[in-house]
Amino acid sequence: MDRINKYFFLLFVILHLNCVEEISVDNQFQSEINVEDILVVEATITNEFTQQKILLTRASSFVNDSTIVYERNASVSVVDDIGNLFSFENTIDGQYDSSEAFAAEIGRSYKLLIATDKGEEYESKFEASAGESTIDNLYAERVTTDTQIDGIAIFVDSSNPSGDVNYYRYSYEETYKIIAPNWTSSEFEILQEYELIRDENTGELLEIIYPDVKLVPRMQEEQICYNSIKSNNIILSDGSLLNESRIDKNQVRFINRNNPILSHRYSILVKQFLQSQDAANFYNTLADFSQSENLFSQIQPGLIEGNIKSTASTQKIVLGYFEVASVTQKRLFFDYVDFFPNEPLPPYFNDLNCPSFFSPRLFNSSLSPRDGGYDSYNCGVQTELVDHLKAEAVEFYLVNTDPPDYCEGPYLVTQRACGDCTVLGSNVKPEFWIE
Amino acid sequence: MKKASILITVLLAFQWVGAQIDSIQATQNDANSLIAVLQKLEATSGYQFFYDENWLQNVPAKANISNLEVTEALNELLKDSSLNYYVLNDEKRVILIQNGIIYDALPKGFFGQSDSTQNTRSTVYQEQVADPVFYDSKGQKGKKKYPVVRVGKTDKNKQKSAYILQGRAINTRTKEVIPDLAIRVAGSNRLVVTDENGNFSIELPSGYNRIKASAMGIANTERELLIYSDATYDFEFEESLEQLEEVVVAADAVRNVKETTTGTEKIDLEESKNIPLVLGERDLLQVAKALPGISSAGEGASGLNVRGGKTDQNLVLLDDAVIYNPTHFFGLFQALNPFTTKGVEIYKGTLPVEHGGRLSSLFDIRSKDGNVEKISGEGSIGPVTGNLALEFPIKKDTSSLMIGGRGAYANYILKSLDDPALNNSSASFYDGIIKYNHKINEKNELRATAYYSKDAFSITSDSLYQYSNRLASLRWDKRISDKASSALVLQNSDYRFGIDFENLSNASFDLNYGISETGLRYKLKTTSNEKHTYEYGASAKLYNVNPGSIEPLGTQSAVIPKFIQKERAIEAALFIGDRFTVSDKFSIEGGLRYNFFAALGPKIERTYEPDFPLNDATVQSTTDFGSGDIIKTYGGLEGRFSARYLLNENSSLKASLNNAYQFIHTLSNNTTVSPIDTWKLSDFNIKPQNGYQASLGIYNNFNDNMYEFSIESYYKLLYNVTDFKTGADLLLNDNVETEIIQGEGKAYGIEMLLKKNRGDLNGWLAYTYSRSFYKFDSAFSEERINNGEYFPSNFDKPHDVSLIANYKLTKRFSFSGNFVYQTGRPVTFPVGTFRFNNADFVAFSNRNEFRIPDFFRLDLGLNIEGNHKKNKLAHSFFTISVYNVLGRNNPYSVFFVTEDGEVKALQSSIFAIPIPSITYNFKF
Repeated sequence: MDRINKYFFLLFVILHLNCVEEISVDNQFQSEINVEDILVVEATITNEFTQQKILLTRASSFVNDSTIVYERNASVSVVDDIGNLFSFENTIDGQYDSSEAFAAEIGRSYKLLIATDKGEEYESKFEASAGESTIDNLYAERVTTDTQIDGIAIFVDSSNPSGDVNYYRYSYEETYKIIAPNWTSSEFEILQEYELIRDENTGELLEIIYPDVKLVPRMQEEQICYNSIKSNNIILSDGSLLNESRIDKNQVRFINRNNPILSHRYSILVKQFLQSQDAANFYNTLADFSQSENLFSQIQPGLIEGNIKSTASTQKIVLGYFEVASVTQKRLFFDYVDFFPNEPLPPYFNDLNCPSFFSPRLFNSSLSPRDGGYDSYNCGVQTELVDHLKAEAVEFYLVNTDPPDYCEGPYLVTQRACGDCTVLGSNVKPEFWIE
Repeated sequence: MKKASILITVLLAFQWVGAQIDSIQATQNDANSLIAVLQKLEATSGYQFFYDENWLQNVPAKANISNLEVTEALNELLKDSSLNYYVLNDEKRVILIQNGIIYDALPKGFFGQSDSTQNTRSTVYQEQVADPVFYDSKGQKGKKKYPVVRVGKTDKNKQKSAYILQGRAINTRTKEVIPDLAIRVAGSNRLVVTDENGNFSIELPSGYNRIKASAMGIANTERELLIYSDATYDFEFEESLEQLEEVVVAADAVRNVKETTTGTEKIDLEESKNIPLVLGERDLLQVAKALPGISSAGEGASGLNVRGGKTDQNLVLLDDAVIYNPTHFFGLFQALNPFTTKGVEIYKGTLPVEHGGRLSSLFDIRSKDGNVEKISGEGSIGPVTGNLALEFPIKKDTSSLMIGGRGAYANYILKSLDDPALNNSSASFYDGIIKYNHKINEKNELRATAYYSKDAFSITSDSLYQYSNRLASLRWDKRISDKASSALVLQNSDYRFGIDFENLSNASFDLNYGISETGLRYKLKTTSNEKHTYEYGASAKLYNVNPGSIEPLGTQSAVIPKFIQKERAIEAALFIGDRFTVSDKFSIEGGLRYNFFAALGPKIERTYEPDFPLNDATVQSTTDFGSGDIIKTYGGLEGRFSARYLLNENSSLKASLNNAYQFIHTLSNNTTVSPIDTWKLSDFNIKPQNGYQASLGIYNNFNDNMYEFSIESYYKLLYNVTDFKTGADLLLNDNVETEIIQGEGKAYGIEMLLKKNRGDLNGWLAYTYSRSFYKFDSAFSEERINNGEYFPSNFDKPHDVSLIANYKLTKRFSFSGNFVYQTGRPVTFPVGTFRFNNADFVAFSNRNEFRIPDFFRLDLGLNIEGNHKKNKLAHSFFTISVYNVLGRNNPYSVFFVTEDGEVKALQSSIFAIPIPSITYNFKF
């Protein structure tokens, strides 16, 4: 019923009489709750036979929110309803991996136990998998949103043949191909840097070594790269009102047609978790609290009660949910031209203006102004090519064929990301990638 | 001198009756005593004069009476004396009388008739009033003199020292009854105020009495009356000249001091017309918020909080029928046509005994009675809405029909804006009212009202939200005898909302909610003797609730129709109240009301294991109740007591104590009221709310009631108020009791109000200090809020200052201003972030641990009246107003969103800039 809560945005928003502005949050709020004491538990045990993972962190105040505080050295285990115990070990940061691979079985229920090294103890309720769902279809469509944005929407048709539970949660990992538009087969190698040789005793200038470069073939693949990004939002669909255990056309991702990730070939791997109603409520509340766009009536936020509780009499706050869910996944590929034939590509990443080149001089003048020399051509002080290269800011594009201007160098260069895709992704083609 | 001028006035009336006397020349004026002059006059006129010479001893005769008729001569001669005369034309005799007068007919009221049949005599002296010669200009302006009225008939067997006078106050011009007229017995503290039908009942000492009457819009009047037994007499009163001008802020002159109950407020819509409000919309409910003790969670938040009570604890009645959502557009506008609404009476403390079912307050909104004399109308055109009200007499002086309509044209604005986000949005609302009033005869009066309002809006192209109110009421007022009257009210109300969601997926739906109630109330009022007035009766209503249903929309939809079990219940009450005048100074109002509530089948109800939280796992059993079966009953006796002690004529001390039950609750998981909040009846698992309130106040009027000052304090306890588990899903929930928690509340405050009722500068200043706290404790953490401690409510705003001022510059121009300052409301803020599911989320503080910044706002308005030509087709005026003149960016809420895995803090405000508007009003 998430939609029902989104009836916001009305006339006066529209008439621009109201105002929504971003404000900075600092430590002006001294709460009775010590936020650093809140344990955050992210634990989903799936039906995949694998080393299951559980993540323990602490919440952080707004002042320190750039660093994640991991909860290390806790004792973590999962027990099932017939007494099997699966212990977990702290592998890296706040991550705990099960000592042995196991899969959550249908019909079994499981419980999470945590004891921190400070001696706090937590345990969850017994949870069981709600069944195994399937992704019936994963597809992309070109759509125009209500706000008139053109783009690609990725939809999932989900169903649960195993029962009548009809709550789904999705996560995805998208991978896209990057082609550096100004790539050439050559790159610069710095031959020498600017240097002044002086007499050790007198300090007298003996020799000026002028900077110089040469072109060499590229050492590695830098034209075609791939980058993967994981979803960072909560995507839910609630089919509880439907008369069948399926819900069609759930949008898991919308990509603006100007997003460069669409430019060549795009792939998305969608994971679908079949959730219990309680788990769905937890995620739904979490999502509601993080997207309260409602201007006129705001949802009352507060501490979200999950299924994990402190066992001690002094109640410690714990945020999170121990979920036992079946997971199923599906991958989709498409090309830009499948949806945008004969249309210009989206602008390049980071709004770089790749078609614009420039030609830095190898050195600023015969007698560098750094040495009190005279800039006879009034070119001003520019960053020299070698300095650009040392800053990894440019890539070779062309030899400056026209006789170079006095203030130009001999090569046309392009911004690095336009000529070398490794800035934006990995040059290793993922194993799953199909052209 | 007053008496003298009365006599002269009366005298003139007589003189006019006998005006055909012959023209007589009075030739002499040189004698130095009045006796001598009269003797000469006697000789020349042929009239014989009768008088006691002692009366004339020291009266000089200065007047020149040459060439005057006899009566004119006498007028001149006796002008400054205490003498009257009476002319007997047939006998050619003139009788002089000192102080007294001679009646040549019985006073009309002698047989209990009303002044409405007054003969030419009174008409005449009304004309004569214009003659300044006969006025003592000091302190007499605007006052008229009426003859002494004799009522009753002495019955030797029933002689008493005091008698009861009953009757009605009637406006001379319109023949409409005058409610809230204060009638005071001169020289005593005895006071009565006429009820809504203009009826009064007052105890008077036997014999001569002077009665002073005052009410807004009615000329202050003094009447002399001789009472010989219990009697009935209808007074007519003239409108005051003031009403032709702007009567901007007014109140019944001494009502606040005199009433026995505490915590009552009254707003007359006409009075509030100049108060500048957002987009030029007149709004009773917004004006109410400027009164102490009434607030809302914030600008643009619907729902009123009265004395720390929740928004569902107000009983809002329009002509006796409940109006569930009296606002349009998220509470920004009232859902009432300003031109058909007379006003509202607000009871913040003790409710009248005939009303009940809510803990905090009663808003008794009344529509106007239609004009029974001629067709008239009123309308306005503003930037957002157009309003029109028309009144048609059906039968002159008997019955009238009033029709009001109102609509918003915001959609045109939306469509004309060049923003794609807006072209898919729409918002519209309208409301209409029809009222029929019929005065069957002197004793019976019938009123019928029908009302409908509707809001529809959509934000995205795939969803449409709408809600509507519908109500109808029929009221029959009957005067059974001099001492008894009755009222029978039949009412029906219906509130519903719906959401249509339609897109290309298989999930399109049509969702609906509805509540309706039908009720009957019968009330009798009797005055047993001079001390007691009883009110008693019974009421019952039947509720039918559709708590939610969803059905597929379109052929593609796979939505399974779902109907949450309907709820039915009966709420009934027996009530009795006594207004007991213990002495001139001390009066008590006591009332008892027994409430009965029964939840009825058909319904399947769950029983949960005792001592466990209510959830699916703790269901013990389910019971299937058949149609009409009683699922659960609740009952309770409410006591309502108030007492008033008059310290002197202008000040009083009052105290009250009452308790109340409420069987209906709103379900909302928002911080403020939203249009998709549902009403839920008490049932097997949800207990009724109840509350207690004590209050104490002191009231003082000074400067001849120009100023009113009051201080009231209250303390309130509430039990079983509802709240919800964090993130509760309330709509379409089969077992909503698993999401509801019930707790307690306490509220206290002190309210100060200073009003200036008259003058070019008028208005009021209100200051309230109040707190309200709630507590939800349980053995189970999911049923606790803030660890079971008291926390401030969403509307706990300790300091609240309102200033409303009107200044009349000239007859055509008047300014008005409205200033509000409030402590920022409590909010729940995030105190940190946590990483979950590869994104940052916020962790929240305890409930309402922080406050948004303080709120203040200044609005200014200018009223320009059209010219005052008498024969214009329509009277018109412009209202120009600027809302939020200071452009203060008052934060409405602070909220946090997670975008691209990052947390952003956003602050919203509803009206961050000054908003000018202009409204054209007309009246014919």
